Amino acid sequence: MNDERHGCSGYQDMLSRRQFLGAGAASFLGLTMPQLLFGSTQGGSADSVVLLWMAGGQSHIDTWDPKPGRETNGPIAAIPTAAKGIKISEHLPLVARQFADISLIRSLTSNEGSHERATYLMHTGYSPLSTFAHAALGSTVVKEIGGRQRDLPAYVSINGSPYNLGAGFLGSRFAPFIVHNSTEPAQNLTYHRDMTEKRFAGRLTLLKELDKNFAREHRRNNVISDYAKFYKSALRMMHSPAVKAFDLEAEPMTKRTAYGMNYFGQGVLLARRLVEAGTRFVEVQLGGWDTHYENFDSVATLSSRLDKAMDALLNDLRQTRRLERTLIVLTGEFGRTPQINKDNGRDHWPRVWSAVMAGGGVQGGRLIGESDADGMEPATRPVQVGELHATICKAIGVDWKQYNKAPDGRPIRVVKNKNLQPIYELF
Amino acid sequence: MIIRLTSLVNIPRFLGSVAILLLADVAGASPFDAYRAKLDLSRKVLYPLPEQQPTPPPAQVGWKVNNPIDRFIADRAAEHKVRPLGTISDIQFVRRASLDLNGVIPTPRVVRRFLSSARADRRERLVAKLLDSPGYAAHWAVFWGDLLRERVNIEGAKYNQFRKWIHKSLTDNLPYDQFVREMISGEGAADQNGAVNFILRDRANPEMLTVATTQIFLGTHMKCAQCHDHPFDVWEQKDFMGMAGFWRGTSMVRTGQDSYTDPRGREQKVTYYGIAGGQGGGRFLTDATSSSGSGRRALAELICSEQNPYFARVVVNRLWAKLMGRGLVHPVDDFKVNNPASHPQLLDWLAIELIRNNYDLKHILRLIATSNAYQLSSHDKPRYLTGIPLTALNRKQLKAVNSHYQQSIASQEASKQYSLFEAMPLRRMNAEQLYDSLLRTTGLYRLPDEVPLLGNRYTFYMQRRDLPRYPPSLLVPAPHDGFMRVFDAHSREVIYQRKNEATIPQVLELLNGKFIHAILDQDDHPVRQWLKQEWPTGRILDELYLATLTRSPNSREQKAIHRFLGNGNSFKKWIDVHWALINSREFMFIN
Repeated sequence: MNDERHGCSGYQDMLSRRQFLGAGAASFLGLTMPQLLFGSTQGGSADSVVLLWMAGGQSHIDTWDPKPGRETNGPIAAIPTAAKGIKISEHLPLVARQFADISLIRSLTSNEGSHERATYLMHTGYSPLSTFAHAALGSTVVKEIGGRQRDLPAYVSINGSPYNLGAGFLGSRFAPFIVHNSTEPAQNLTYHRDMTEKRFAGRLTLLKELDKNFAREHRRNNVISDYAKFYKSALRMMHSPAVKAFDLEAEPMTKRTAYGMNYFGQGVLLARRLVEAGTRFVEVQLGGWDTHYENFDSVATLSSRLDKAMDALLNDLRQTRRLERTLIVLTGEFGRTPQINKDNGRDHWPRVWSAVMAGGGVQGGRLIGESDADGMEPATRPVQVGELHATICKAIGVDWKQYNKAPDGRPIRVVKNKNLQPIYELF
Repeated sequence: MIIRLTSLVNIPRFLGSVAILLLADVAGASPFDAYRAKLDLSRKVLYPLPEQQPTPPPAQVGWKVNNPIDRFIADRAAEHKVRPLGTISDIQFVRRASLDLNGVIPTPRVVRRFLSSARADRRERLVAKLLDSPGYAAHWAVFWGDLLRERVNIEGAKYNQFRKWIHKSLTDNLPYDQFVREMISGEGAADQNGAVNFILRDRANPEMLTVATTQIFLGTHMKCAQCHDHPFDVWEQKDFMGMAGFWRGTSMVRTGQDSYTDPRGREQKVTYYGIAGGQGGGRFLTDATSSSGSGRRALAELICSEQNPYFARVVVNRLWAKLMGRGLVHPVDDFKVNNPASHPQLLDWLAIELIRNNYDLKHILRLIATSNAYQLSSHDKPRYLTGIPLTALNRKQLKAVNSHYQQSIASQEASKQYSLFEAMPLRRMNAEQLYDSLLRTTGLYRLPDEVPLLGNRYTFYMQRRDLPRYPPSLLVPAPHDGFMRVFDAHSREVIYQRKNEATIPQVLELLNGKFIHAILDQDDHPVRQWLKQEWPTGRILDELYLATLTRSPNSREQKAIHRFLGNGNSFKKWIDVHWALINSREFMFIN
């Protein structure tokens, strides 16, 4: 609907209410100002995004940015990848072989060193404010270009949503559909376990009858008709074949074990199924990276889970020819201190860390930016979160210079700093 | 391209200005500059409150007057030749007032007692009773919790003392100015003086506290002026720095330390804090000066002063918006000269009423809830549009008006009609109202007298099991997750206006969610008792309707349910009926 795409045509401060009402009429023409102004937003070839979220702050040195020979490297060895000159951790051997399709950003940088603030920044592109809720990129993407399949949620967060970040000022209809537990994914999309199809149908028939009175009295009220619409959509979803995407039981056991029989592995498998079925934006969380203590043991365990799941995902997407249309992004809220602490751990380090990209028109085997010898600071081409977001936007065809209107009339840009550009070297 | 478009269709003037802004952007100048150039900067600060409380205008034909509020409303509506929708019935009133003042649907017992009263002042008496009941503090703790960003896991706080303090202040009906003063100038350990959690919440940071206090208590956005002159408002960076000055020197002080064993069995240390200091000098928004000391104490004085043109206006407007669905100043956090109130005289009348009554918030709520304006129907849609009765329009005109109207709603901008308050907008229950009402209709709603002490995030998970299985929302620690989160209870990281929009996950939660099934299928469900006592079907039906939708079933509904029940009368069939009532849209709206 056009009414979801006001762009900046609604400066409430600037316009009288009468004029404002006219704004609805203008968008009725099917054109919004930003569309007129910026023209085409064609970018990469992606129609969906899978964000692999390394919650807690993934140690960059122990995964994507090893420092062989330096004291800061710690005990984890570096191994070569399929891309010439790029080495990664020995705990990611399967992914290393996939580097013909994977590119690395080793110079991501920010100033937010606490989990919540940094997670907020990485998801929304803005530092948190006490008075305003920004939207996560997934919500923005869905608001800008909608879903792909009407019977599936357009934006899904698997294994919970980090800090419950969501649609913020855009409103809850753009919020992620949250799958709390990837092994029980279709919660609320199927009948409650005590329910039978017949009993449910009986309930619905009765509901329809009992709802009539009120519906008639308020038939011209949009809030009421929204619920009617959503009841219809919800029921259609429940009974739609598309929702079978949530059913991991439909996968052969060999497939399930290939992704790893853990929350993350099964979550990534679910993400693949959802993307195939038509979800626009999927985030899968892998927690546990906050390794203040015994960093190297935790990193080894987490890496092997990540390695298996990511490898399986790339293989499957390639096989179904979806890799070209699915952008895979991996990062966390920050990196970890090059200095190893007294507990054999590493602490929070936002000055530099890494992000991984694959598919969706992004070229493989490329290296964007580098950290310095000890992984302390970006040495070349520092990359800000806004550039990462702009890159995702470009890949999926969202105009990153687009505005959305805050409730108080301010324009909020998709990417905060309008001078930031996508990382064109990746395409 | 834009120019061609504007000439093609007769597009209102606004497009021109938008185009200028956008073109300015392309040309390199910021749209903010273009906007700022248009601002009238000649008057930054709101006009002071008048010396005399405004005199209510004369009554208008067709408008019932319960108290002076109605005269102000009628006067402006009459200017627009708009007449009110009808007044709601007693039974509708008891549900609306109960949800708005106590956050939960009424029990059948209360409804029956209210309906049996023949007194002319029964609605006034009901409002008084609701304001005196424990439900008042329970419900308004959510309202204030949202504004003050109350959370259980405030860094450095030991317990959920903030909610405890908010709840107790509401229970004691602490005068509003004192409530605010205690937060701004409070000192001491967070577990001794709950009010200091307000400062601890922002880690005693002067800038963050300035952003929060100016928005919450003065209804004005200064966050942009923190870094640059405000692009959408008159505030400049020096105004922001002036306000922040009052907070300088305020600091967090250690008040204790604890250790605990984390889930991995490791010993962890945690430090608790309190608030001290704060002698900084600042410059107040209005340039007013304080005679009482410096720093936070002076700031509290200036904010709570009767001379402050914002303080009383902002809070009465918040209460008005909560009950009436829209502020007199709208949005409620946008008080400025360029955004005047729809009813400036009424706003001032209420503000002065608050000051004269020693900042008694309940007094204002009582006035609003007993006004006829609050008791207007939410039924159906506008009968009048800018003065023309819709009945006077032909079908084609009606269609045009309707589509125009629909669009204004679709754009989430409250329709102009509602700003005349000639009808009550239909409002969805917020997450807590819905949750508590679901508990009540299934016999599970029990309120404690006070908020029990819960540990902070380090110990909290061990203590949560001490709560009842289905605690009322008052006891559910924020930030909420699960059911309430789906219905737009938020993280309380920001001062957030809930949107209460419809979403698909909400519908799925009501259709299939664990919570709904659990509360319907439990041992205390009232239908179990009624069946045990062998109540006839008709009586159970009446009681269930009263306990859920606060009304009696009509004959069609009775027939449908009898048909559904067939010959059986099992508990299972009855929860199917209850499920359908809960899922009916009527349940989740404040009608």
